[in-house]
Amino acid sequence: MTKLHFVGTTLASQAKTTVGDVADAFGRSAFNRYYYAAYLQTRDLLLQFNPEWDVSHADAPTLIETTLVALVRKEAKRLEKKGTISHADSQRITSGVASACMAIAEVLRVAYKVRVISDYRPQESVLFENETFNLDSHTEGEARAWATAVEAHKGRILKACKELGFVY
Amino acid sequence: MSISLESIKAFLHSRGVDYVDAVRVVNETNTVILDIPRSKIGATLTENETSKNQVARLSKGIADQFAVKVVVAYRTSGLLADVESGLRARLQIRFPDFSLVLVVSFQTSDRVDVWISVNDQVTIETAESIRNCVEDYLRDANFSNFEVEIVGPDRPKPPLMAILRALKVRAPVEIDALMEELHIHGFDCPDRRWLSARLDGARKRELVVRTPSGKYMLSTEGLSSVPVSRRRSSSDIERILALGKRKKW
Repeated sequence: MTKLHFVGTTLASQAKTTVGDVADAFGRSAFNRYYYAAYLQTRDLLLQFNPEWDVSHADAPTLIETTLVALVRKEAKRLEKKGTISHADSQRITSGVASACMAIAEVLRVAYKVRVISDYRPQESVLFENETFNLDSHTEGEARAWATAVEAHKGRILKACKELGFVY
Repeated sequence: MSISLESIKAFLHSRGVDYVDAVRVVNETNTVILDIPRSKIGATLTENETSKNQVARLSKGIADQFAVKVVVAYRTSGLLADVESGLRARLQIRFPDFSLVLVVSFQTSDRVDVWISVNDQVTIETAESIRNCVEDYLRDANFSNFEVEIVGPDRPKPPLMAILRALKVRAPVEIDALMEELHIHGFDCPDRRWLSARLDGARKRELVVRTPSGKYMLSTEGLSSVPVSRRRSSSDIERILALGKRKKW
């Protein structure tokens, strides 16, 4: 995952130092790699909860935002009923997980959209300006932050789930 | 079957949807992508804003009608992106000696979550100053609904569920070995007495039993509290693996 992000930044540097179609191709590939770095982080997180989930690209945001949150909520409720955690802790954990899951889902949706444009819509060009570049008005800097954001929210989710004994 | 962009646009028009900035049809993946500016998303439906529930309903409508997958990409407006850049710059100027990782997530046009990871040089007082600095900035930017979370590098103390899970994996176990097991999994117990007090609390709640030789294990009630699943990190699988590694029986 880190390697993909590194490849993304390398491709972005290449895009900034070349011109024309070659720069466009490097730029597109950088967006693609940035997306995959974020996607694989998410996939890794989801498979820790259920290795049988089919984490397809278009469905990954819904899976994390709906299915994972429901799973954590159910577990928190169960432990609350047993009296192992308090109602306040249950609420705190589930709302933290829901907020982090929603944030990941939103990053993934934007990243997926940009990746699809970079892969399937060559008519939409990469625009170079102010020593950086963007695709569909999403800058390279924004794309570079996708994986970091997913990783940060993933850390929040795993930390909360450790409190439930759900992950270790 | 290929989907036509015009039919999706006609569908949006028939529903009176005016908050979608761009529609893209990707036949290769049978997906429709809707681009929606975040500034048009509010907590509830109003004259100028729609809600996430409305967007979810719209997505379902398109998915059902055209048998496609719908991906909604919320576009953070230049203004919100500027708010994030401004916050980043402010933290860099105010706290230049600390390496801070800032993640900002705008849930709606007026709701923002900020998550900051700090290194071990950040004291409790500095962390509080960072929090105040972020909160003042967000208030100045007219956000009334925000959450700021600061996460330090310290290993957390193990919560009860983590202690029960460690016990399930290693039982029957002495207190030192239990501390070691928790340490491996990213928790730090202040000392033996702290963990002993937690275990006593769990014993009173009949989740844990202590053998005459001073070893701890879970009661039936404790065992049923620890989550199990079919995933690779399931506590059942970890227990089996731990038994397999055991040198002395």
